[in-house]
Amino acid sequence: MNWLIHHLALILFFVLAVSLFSGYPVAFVLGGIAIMFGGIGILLDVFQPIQFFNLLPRVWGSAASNPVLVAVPMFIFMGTMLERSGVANDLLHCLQVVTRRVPGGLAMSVTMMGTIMAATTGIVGASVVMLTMIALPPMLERGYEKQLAVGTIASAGTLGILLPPSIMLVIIGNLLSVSVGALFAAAVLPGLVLAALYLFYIGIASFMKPERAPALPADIGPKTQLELWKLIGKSFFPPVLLITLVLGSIFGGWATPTEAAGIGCIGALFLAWMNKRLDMKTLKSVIERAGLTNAMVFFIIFGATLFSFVFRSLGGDDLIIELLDAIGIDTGWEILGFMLVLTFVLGFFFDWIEISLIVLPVFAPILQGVDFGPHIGDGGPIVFLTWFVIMLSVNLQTSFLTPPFGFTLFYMKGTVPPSINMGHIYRGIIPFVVLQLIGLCLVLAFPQVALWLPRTAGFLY
Amino acid sequence: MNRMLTASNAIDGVLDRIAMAVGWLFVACTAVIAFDVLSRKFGFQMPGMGSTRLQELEWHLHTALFSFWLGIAYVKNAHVRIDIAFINAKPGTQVWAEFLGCVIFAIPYCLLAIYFSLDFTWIAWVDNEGSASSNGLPWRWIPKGFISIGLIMLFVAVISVLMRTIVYLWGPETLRNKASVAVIKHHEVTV
Repeated sequence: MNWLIHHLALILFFVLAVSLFSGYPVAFVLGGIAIMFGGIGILLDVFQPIQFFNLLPRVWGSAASNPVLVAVPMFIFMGTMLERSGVANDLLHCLQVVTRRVPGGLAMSVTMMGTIMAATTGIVGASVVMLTMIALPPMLERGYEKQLAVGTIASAGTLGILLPPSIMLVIIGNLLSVSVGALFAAAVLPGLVLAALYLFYIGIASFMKPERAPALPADIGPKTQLELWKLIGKSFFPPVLLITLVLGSIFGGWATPTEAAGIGCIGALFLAWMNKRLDMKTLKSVIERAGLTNAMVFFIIFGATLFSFVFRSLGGDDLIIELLDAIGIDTGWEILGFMLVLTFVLGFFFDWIEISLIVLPVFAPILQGVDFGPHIGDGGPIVFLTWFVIMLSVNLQTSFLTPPFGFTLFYMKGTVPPSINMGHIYRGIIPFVVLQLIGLCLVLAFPQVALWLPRTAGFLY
Repeated sequence: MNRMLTASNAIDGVLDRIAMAVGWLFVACTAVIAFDVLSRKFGFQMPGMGSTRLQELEWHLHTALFSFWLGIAYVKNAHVRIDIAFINAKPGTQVWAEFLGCVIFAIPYCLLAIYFSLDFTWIAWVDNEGSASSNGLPWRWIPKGFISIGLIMLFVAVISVLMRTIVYLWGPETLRNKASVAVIKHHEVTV
């Protein structure tokens, strides 16, 4: 009996892991399992029924009465608006015209669009499906090699979880008590480095074997220089300006992320209006999509809150520390390595929402105590956490792309025409996984890549 | 059985309409943020609409936005699932899994959450709880009530899906197609 009481939290974790694969919505499974084990805890006299009441104050504090989290629905609305009003489509078209003489120009356009439109791509599954639908048909039409086409799209789709304004960073920042501004700033350089690596690879690959990425016909797009500039002015500058404005106001310290997101929504509405697509139909479809996505994100917070509360009440925290001790993980590097491997494996099956909301609260006390010393410089635990979150994001991105399990690949398979099989997707993605690993190693070896901008902007000391 | 299906469709319709109406709060919240930013940058203030109040109003709206969409998000299958184990299963198996999920996970969770949430709202009402800040908004029972109503709507949505699974599993052949349970549809990836 004592053994059972002592290990109840551990059993809870395993039962959860198995039950999640039932295919039932994750948030319900989290909550249902938590109640079940709370009930067992009551029978064993290690949990009191009234403790369940804690669910509400916790949800209230972590999801509702939190001004920072208002940024989440606002960024979701902004991103969905940019997507549904055709701004994303027009941007892709414009980039395609501008880069038409560059080897692999169309693929590069997709990567650049993923970088600029990171806001529209908060949820990996949805963003990969969206990018596949708008970018794959033109690539296949131009005779692009299938592997290169799918690799480019899948990798560009996952950039959005790292590059600000990423809603993942808002939620993780809130979980680990790190300023969202600091995380946004820290993600910029690593994100751009990754995008540059992709572009470099696409350029080299298309230059070496031009048949993989045929050039576009010269007559695409406008004839005169004036018209070309008009196109750029209409399709390229507005969204770039909007994103720069949103991020710049955060980094410059003029606006909180929530305020910047609200202003971003106005900007997105304005761009939709400029595009003459701000009608009832578009608005309703944006509201529906954004409302559903938003509810999905926050409902997981509901489930995960109850789960991590019951897990802790049953002694889960101590158990995790005991477990790490038993396998001899205690130094900063070991904890870091353990977390990266753990989240990498979890990333095969779960999106970042589940991983960050289930795993991070469990490990947060350990992470907050890590002393990394000279490798990341002064500033205490906050600096380590900022650096850690960026590595976690790059790590998750890589995991989502890695065959055979990376779940981005399955979303992709569900959207591509039947002429593309899983083999094309696997072979296409491998070079990008290698690039991701290079990016991860860069951030690992040179923490300054992530930490320089937040330090310069005054978020960290 | 036929009546069950009609009831389920009616529930879905009502949930959808409420959610879409509340969805306009996205626009309202945008407007409140913009007004707050502008009034602070330009140093004017409308009486009774100080920055603290506006910022609290923002998360009140936010609370309504996610609460009122919880239920319809289940009906429209927007809540994430880990479905790799069942993706190739027969429709019947999937519906069985959905039925068991409703009974084992969703219903106990909803009932417990509703019970404590009503308590939570009730305490706020009885104590006439307001903002901790002297120039914040009064009546915390309103946003807390949003969560209670949202959870009740979620429970109703679970019942609606449960009724569909029952019609599918035990109803007559002819009703099967009509009882298009969300779980079958969700394997076609939707954006």
